[in-house]
Amino acid sequence: MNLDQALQTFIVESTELLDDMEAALLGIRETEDRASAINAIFRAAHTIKGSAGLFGLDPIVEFTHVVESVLDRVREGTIGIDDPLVALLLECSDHMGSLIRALADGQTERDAAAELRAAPILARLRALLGESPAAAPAAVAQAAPAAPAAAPDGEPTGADHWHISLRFGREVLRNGMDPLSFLRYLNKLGQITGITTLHYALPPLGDLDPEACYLGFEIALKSTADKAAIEGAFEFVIDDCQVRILAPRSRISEYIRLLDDLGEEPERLGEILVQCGSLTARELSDALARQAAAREHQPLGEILVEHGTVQPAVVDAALNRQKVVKEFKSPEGQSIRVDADKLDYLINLVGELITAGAGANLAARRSRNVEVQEANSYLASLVQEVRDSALQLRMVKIGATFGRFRRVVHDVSREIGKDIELRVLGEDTELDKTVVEKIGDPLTHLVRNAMDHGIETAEARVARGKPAHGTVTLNAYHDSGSIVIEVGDDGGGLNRERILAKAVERGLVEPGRALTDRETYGLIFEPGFSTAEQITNLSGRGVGMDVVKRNITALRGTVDVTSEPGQGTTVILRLPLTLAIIDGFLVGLGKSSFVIPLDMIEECIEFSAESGQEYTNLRGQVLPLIRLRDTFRVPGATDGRQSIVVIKHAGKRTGLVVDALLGEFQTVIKPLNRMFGQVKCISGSTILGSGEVALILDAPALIAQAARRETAAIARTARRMDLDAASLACEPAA
Amino acid sequence: MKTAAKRASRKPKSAGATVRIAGDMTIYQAEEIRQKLLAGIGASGSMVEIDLQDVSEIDTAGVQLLIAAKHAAAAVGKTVCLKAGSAAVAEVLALLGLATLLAPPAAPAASA
Repeated sequence: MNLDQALQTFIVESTELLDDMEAALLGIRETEDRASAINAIFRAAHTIKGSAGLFGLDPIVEFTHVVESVLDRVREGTIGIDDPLVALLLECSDHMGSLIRALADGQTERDAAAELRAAPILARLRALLGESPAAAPAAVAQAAPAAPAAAPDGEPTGADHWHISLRFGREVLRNGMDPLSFLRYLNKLGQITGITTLHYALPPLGDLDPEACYLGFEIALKSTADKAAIEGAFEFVIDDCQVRILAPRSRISEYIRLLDDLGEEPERLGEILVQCGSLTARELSDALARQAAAREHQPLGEILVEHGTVQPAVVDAALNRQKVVKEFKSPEGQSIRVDADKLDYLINLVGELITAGAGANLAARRSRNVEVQEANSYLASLVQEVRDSALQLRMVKIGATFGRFRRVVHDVSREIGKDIELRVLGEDTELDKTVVEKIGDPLTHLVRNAMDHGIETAEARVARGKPAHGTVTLNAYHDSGSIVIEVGDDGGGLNRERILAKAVERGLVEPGRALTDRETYGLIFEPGFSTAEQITNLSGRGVGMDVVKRNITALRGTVDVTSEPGQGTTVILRLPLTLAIIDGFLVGLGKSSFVIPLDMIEECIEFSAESGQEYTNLRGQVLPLIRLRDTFRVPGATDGRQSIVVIKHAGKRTGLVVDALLGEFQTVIKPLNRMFGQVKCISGSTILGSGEVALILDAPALIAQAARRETAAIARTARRMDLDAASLACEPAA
Repeated sequence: MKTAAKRASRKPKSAGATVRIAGDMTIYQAEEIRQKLLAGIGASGSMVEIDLQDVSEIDTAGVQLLIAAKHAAAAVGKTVCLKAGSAAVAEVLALLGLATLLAPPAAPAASA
């Protein structure tokens, strides 16, 4: 491979690893599974260091090495992970990111400025390590007792050597590896002071496969090597072997965990540990008793964690390394990278295929040849499947996008001095990649806004009887063909009066006009509108909310706000799932055809309305009607009966009155030329099988327009009534 | 490969069979040796002697066979006696902490 290409791969992968690292760091406070988070962080640093070493990128290696050493301690549990450490590690990840970005910009030489930036971080890392990294095991041994141990089972054992449990897989010998050679190598790293060969897995001689390996070993190793070096000894058999390494002076609870984890007969194994000299007899009986007690009540792991004796991180990190390595490998094998351009091209082709298919379908129907029609309908169903799976290729989970906000929330909450946590729901909700890319900025703005203006200061919160730390919630879910993303805060809510006052002052609203809550809150999306009394450098300049709205509208989406005084504000974004191809429903109006997105349609019913009324009775409920003929000024009169298509958007039903129902239609969305940019209520166009153009209805816009018309009508009626009242009032005087 | 150098003989001696293994005792010869051990244990007599004096190399597969042979013999009420002579065998058994298990003549198994 070309070295340049390899370097590019390194840059891409390292950037992704750093993203993972950041996500894991930010999630560590809430996560249930700390061990795997710590592992992910360690792995990221470890892999970057290793790869950087291959390219001889010394500055990256040197810096990352120190980070890795600290992380290794964290993994072992000798350094507890707390907020300041998370902040420090975030700085580390930032610095690594900047080194890698510099590399991407073609800078391979040492950069004095970068080293200057690194120096304070390194100093703090080294302070954590206590001393020079070379003396690692000794430091571990001293640090272990120093770590807070609340309960007696946190006491370190007396053994001052490493304990290694090896279980070789059946295939080891056949793969050309001899466990003996690893033991010999261990003897080079240090001295094996005790060893027990486990042969309980050995089948009777008659059934024995002489080329399979059935042995396991419990080893006590006296060595000054660090954990990575010992683990490194088994690097070549990691897939074929379970390796568990306990550091010198590990706590008894870790040995318990080892016994429990191996799942073999604990008593026998325990004795083996005594034989190896890793445990004393007293320590063993203590451990076994505690394990038995734990079994009766609840899983062992939980008890230990409750006792605060084991940071799950410690043991899991050592024990599950092999599993982690495997997990790490598998996704690589299961996914491939594809250029977005290639995907786009594929989607375009599928679009053409659908259009061509519709043409063929029409021709087949006209030919009245049954065979052609059958073949064609099978073809059509295949095309539909191809379409769905092609679109599925572009679907990504929103979790990754949400994950980025952990960092935003973490940084901003420090910056503005509020304690705010991020709650993320519906991470698995999928949406089109092109949509994901475009909502990043609007979401960032909304989240910052929620933190800065939404959530009150801690004092104000406590005074209102709310928890001192605020919560920003990101939520995503699917709803009738759209994806809904909510950005919520549990702050003070919007101030209706102030918004109105401001709107009047800016001339956005006539004084004295009655507005619904929704309309009022909607005002914050008007250009140049900001109610924040104080302008911070985050938000409050009145640029932003209108930009948010514009961006979302450009994606054929809508923005809504709900707010509850004292309870918080939620901004609701509704976006189409995909921008390329949709299932549509074709309706006829005079000679033209229109497409309504099928996902929005609830049902079709026969047209019936009180004459001259803009609503009908749908099973006892009022259904407002929109006469599309009037809306689009379709010429000519209706011939025959009209129908109503009931659509649902944002929880509201509306009926569209159309001339004819023409059936489902796979719709390839073609954006309208910019010349038609001002056209309301149309979101795009599509080409029918006949080659004719059909317009795609923008249902949310239609509904909004109808709603405006309605309020205007109500206002007119109200004014008329006022007038009537006024004239009535005048009469007696006259 | 030194397979050719290996030759096993069974001769009635002290009411038991002797399985003699010479040359390499590795995964390459494992199946062959397994058959010999099975035959040795299946033979009449209350003792099986395994002669390892001339083993030039032994690996994990070889060690496994020795352990399995010991188990197999014990299962049918026999004792296994190892004549562990070669330096290669001694080194490996010491490395694995098995010296005590295999080196002394069948005394522990007798009590079982």
